[in-house]
Amino acid sequence: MGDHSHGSPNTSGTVATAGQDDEEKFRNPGLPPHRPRLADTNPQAEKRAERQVAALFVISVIGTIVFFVGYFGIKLEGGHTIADIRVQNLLLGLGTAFAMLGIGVGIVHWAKTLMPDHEIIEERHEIRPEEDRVVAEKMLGDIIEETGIKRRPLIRNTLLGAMVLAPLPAVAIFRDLGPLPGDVLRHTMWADGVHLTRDPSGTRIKASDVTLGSAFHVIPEGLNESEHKLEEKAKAVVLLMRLDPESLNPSPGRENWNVDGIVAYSKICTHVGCPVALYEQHTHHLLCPCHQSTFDLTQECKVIFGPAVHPLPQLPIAVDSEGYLIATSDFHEPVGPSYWERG
Amino acid sequence: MSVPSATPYEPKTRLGRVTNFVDSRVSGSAMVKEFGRKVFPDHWSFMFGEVALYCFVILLLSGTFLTFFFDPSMAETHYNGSYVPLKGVEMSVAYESSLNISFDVRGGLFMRQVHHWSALLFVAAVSVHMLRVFFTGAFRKPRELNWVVGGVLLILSLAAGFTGYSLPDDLLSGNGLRIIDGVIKAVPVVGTYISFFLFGGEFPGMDIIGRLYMLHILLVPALILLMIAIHLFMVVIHKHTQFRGPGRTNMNVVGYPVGPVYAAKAGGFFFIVFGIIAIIAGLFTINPIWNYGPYDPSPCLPVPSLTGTSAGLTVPCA
Repeated sequence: MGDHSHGSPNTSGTVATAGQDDEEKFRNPGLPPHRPRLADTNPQAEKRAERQVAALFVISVIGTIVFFVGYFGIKLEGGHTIADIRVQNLLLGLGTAFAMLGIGVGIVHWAKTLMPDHEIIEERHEIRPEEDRVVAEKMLGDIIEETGIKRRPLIRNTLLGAMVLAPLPAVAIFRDLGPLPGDVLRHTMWADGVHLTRDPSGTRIKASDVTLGSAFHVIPEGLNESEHKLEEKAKAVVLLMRLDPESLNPSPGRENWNVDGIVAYSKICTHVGCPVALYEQHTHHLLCPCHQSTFDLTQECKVIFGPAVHPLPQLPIAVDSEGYLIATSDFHEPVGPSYWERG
Repeated sequence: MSVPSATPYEPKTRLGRVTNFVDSRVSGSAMVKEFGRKVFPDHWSFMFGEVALYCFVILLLSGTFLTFFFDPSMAETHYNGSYVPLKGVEMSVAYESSLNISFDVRGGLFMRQVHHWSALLFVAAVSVHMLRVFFTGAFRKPRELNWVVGGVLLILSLAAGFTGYSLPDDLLSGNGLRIIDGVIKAVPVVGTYISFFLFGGEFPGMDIIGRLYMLHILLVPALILLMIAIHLFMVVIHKHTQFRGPGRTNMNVVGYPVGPVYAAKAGGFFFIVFGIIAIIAGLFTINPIWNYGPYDPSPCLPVPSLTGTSAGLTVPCA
């Protein structure tokens, strides 16, 4: 509003009128005149700028000294604490920062105040003149013609065949990067009679210890002594929880997979394999902290939220003669993230 | 027309003698003529690419330091360094050497912090630089190919970041690998095969850290370096874009010459970027791997409970 409020469009000096001065209006005014800086005209200002640049370089020297104070001054031999490390890291950081900023700011200040600040105009040229392209096209055409590849399809086709095949060894030679998957992803350490034990201690779990509402991290017995501990653990970890048997709704064939409401489910999320670490007792939900997949224990760990597709596999369990929990078989489906052959 | 001058060039000054020595052997004079006064337009938004380039240089410097102390082995060991809470804990040699860099190599923690912070700044600067190029239309003809090279550089910077993130073999990086394994297994038809070849068998196996280490310190940086060389070469061919203004046309470049002003500003700016990263690295902790512990597919750590619910959410460790 403001700019239009003074005068009428016909007479206002602020509104450009088309006509006689068109040419004038659109002519490139060229670079604005160079305006000298204070340091260009005032010797005192020049001297001051010079001293400022030097002072910044001195600050850099001090920064380097601070670095060495931090490096050699903090004794780390024998029983240093995290506090010592923190102090050292602080001194090294600030020392390096001042050493670098002193040089950097100093040079930029030098360039801005003391080096010539005349802008220069450079003409852009066409990246290549078009005549060159004609020459190049002709030359390439001649070269291709001289090879005779167009006239000799036998040579061309056998060459193509050879070129397609020749890189294949470069791919095949990587075959020994790893074994073929086989069906190892379908099997875990769990089997009939394997005891459920606490993670990480490996002690057996009595069914009577699993009280209503409690939960256990579980590993198969013998995992800690296993040769491929991490690989086995990445598949075999289980969450053990006790619910009111009334709230479980086992599907046909799974009625005897729980022990008085004690159920065991794979802890490996069926989305991308994070541990499903969060158990919400009141709602009987298991929640994966990585991508919020949520599984409902009362519906055999069906996915009720999040990106996972498959329910968590259930481990069938029973008690042995001494009251300890055992598995009665392996998982009946592959644990962890889905894959092509899983079906 | 150009008759060879009768008297050969006789350098009179010391600078002249140096020029003569170099030029008569490797012909540097043409390059000085070409670049010595080359004009670069000035605008604050043109700095993001520079920030990215300098971050990469800082990454090479700090990363080289780290390789002297890092051991990418997944062999099992028991920690016996000076960080008391983890004493005696079973872990991989890679994680142990990362802890040793942090606590038992002087300046090691600082270098780790510099490396991690400049990696983050690198990706951020590449992204903002791309936004600048996009919103100023600087990707248009004849610069389309350089835009593609820039896009490849963004992908490579993410690859460098991911492979580096996984190296310390702490709980977080192992979990990141676990997720990548899940993503790879989801690839149709060949997913499980790629996963088994990459990890040398079942996840996590004994090979992955060493393989990622090779990618992280050799293959990916070499590709980034190659792409940066192509990127800058094309900038020289195209000459830099400029904003419009009096005296500026489509056919010219207005700005400061490389020597001395632009070189001083750009060179000084490297030290400023380094200084700012050093301040951040000195003051703000990034990736405190000692708090996470070694990788475990099912960590038995106190998991933070979700807020706002009354029920105990986490399963206590037995």
